[in-house]
Amino acid sequence: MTVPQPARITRIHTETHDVKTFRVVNANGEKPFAHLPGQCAMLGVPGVGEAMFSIASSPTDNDGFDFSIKAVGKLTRYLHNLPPDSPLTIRGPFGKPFPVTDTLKGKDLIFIAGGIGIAPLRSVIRYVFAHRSDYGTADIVYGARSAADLVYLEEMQNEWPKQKNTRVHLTIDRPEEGWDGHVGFVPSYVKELVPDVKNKIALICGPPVMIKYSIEALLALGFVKPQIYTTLEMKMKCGVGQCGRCNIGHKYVCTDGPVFRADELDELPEEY
Amino acid sequence: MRLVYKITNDRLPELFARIAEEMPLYLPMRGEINDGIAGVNLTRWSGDFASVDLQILKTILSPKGFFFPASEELYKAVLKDNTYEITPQPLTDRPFALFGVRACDAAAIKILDGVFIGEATDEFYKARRDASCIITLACESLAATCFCGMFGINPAEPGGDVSTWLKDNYLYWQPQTEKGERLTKKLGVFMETVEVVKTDVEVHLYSNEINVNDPSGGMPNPFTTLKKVPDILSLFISPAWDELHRTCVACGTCTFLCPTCHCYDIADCRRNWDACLYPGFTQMAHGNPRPTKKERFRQRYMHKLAYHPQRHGVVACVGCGRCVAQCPVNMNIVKVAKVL
Ligand SMILES: Cc1cc2nc3c(=O)[nH]c(=O)nc-3n(C[C@H](O)[C@H](O)[C@H](O)COP(=O)(O)OP(=O)(O)OC[C@H]3O[C@@H](n4cnc5c(N)ncnc54)[C@H](O)[C@@H]3O)c2cc1C
Ligand code: SF4
Ligand code: SF4
Ligand code: FES
Repeated sequence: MTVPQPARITRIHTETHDVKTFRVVNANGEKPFAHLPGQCAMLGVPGVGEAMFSIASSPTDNDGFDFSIKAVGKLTRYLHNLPPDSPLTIRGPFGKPFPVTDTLKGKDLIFIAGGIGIAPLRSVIRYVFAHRSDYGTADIVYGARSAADLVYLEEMQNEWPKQKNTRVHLTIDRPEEGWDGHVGFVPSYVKELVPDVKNKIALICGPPVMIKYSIEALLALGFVKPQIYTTLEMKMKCGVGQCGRCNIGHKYVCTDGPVFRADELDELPEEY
Repeated sequence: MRLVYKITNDRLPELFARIAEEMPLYLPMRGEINDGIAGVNLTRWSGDFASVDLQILKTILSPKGFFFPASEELYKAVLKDNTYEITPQPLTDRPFALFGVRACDAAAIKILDGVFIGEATDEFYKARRDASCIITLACESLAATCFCGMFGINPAEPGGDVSTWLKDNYLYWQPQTEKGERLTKKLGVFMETVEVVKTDVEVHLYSNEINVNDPSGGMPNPFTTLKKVPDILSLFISPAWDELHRTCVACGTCTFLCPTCHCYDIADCRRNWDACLYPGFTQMAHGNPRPTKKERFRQRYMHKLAYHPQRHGVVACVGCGRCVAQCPVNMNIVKVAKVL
């Protein structure tokens, strides 16, 4: 699991000024391995770096893995400058997925995401759409700093609302010209939407503060912690609980996470 | 019942030479360890018996590097026809023997096994473990910095694949595992010429002479009380950390010398020892969850004393005392455990 396999970028889609979605296949042009929504993979460029990214496509998508990557540092900036058909390395899958095959079945779902945090949730959302009758309603609450920072905007506005029992709620932090949608932070938007608590599961993904306030908002609305799933992010190197880097207390985010149920976080020191 | 072989001390050079004929043998030898600084480390047998030090309790480096090297290339990646051709480094299959491993370090190898051959198996580590034969040497006395007894480790019963004891002009040799038996058999002719002591009882050569369980001189064992701490979270927020970390200069010495510290970095197809005490260890684009030395220092000790026991059922310290002996500012795990 520390040795990668060769991979290749087949398609690059510019999402925002600092996020691009890369489609990645293995040397045979296929998906590199099987995965479930929420799981991650290490992408690398030998001599540049290696980093963990959520697999943003669904297991039901067959053309390869999608990774939506924000340019923040050495590797990610390098990736942003690559042309399609560039070689990479990949290893995985890492981490525990969202419980799509059991707990989530038959439930109404509310997806709450901020910024690039939408990437792992897109995998679940597309999976739910591919098995639409297995799940109840889907509400997607997504926010970013500005309209120009909303990832997957086309897909969200043109494809997702066409799905049965699905609503997309977009918000941006501050008002801006040409935006007639909601303005405000994600957690307060969630409160305003007053989602029904019954038979509902919430999936939250985004920056640590957004996660924290979104959980608080849901609890204030009457949710209980076992109804809430979230993902955590720590620096990662090995992906298998050995390099000792991504722990929060005795849990390793790479193997025990990145998906955690909110009540599981109560057992962990607040160091994330 | 396992046989105990008695080898007179004057035949030790012959024993080492005989083992080295079978496989590379590493044992505590005095030598230059760095830029003219002398010290004792597990070093490849060269026939120079005068440099072998069988009295030393703590080699500078623990044996962990034999299984988990300080820096190793995991694979090669070569760009060919617009594809990275990836060639994993071959797995070690060449047997080797370590002689003179003390009880603490032997126990530490078991702790590392729990990490590297646990939930996931690291093939590189496992291949080296499979290839190794660990010949331990019992401790007849303790150093002031030893506290293995606090973890239930008996330095007079050091385990390994073969246990040995030095006593009254003899080296007593007792295979402990199949691997140890095989090595003993391989030594064949040589072993047959040594005196064999048949015994039903375990060898208790000097366990009565060392008070292993009370190295702290009647003080309560801070590690057993720690293991009982029901609330790890209250330990985490203990105000004691505010003061404890102050003298630490975050040099990382304690982590590199520690036989159980296993954190590593992967960069450019290589794996390198890393230390949770370094700021870059958890630095991410949006910030660092352990922003100051306090959180990083706390991580090292919480990992050893609380998180590792929670996850693996054993404290990640074997009381070898290397951190006690080598920390430049005299900070160490005993001090930390006593305060908590
Ligand atoms: C489970 C998981 C899922 C993830 N999913 C995604 C995803 O879907 N999309 C996405 O875009 N990201 C994702 N990430 C985050 C992604 O892994 C990081 O953005 C990536 O590691 C950045 O790599 P880099 O080489 O570009 O940055 P680096 O060059 O490593 O730099 C990152 C930041 O850390 C700083 N830094 C690095 N090293 C040091 C040091 N030694 N000292 C001080 N500062 C330092 C840099 O200045 C920079 O600000 C995920 C992370 C995890 C753990
Ligand atoms: S050896 Fe001492 S000073 Fe160096 S990191 Fe360890 S505790 Fe801190
Ligand atoms: S923490 Fe110190 S005494 Fe304990 S095993 Fe590591 S180096 Fe030895
Ligand atoms: S990434 Fe190495 S322990 Fe999690």
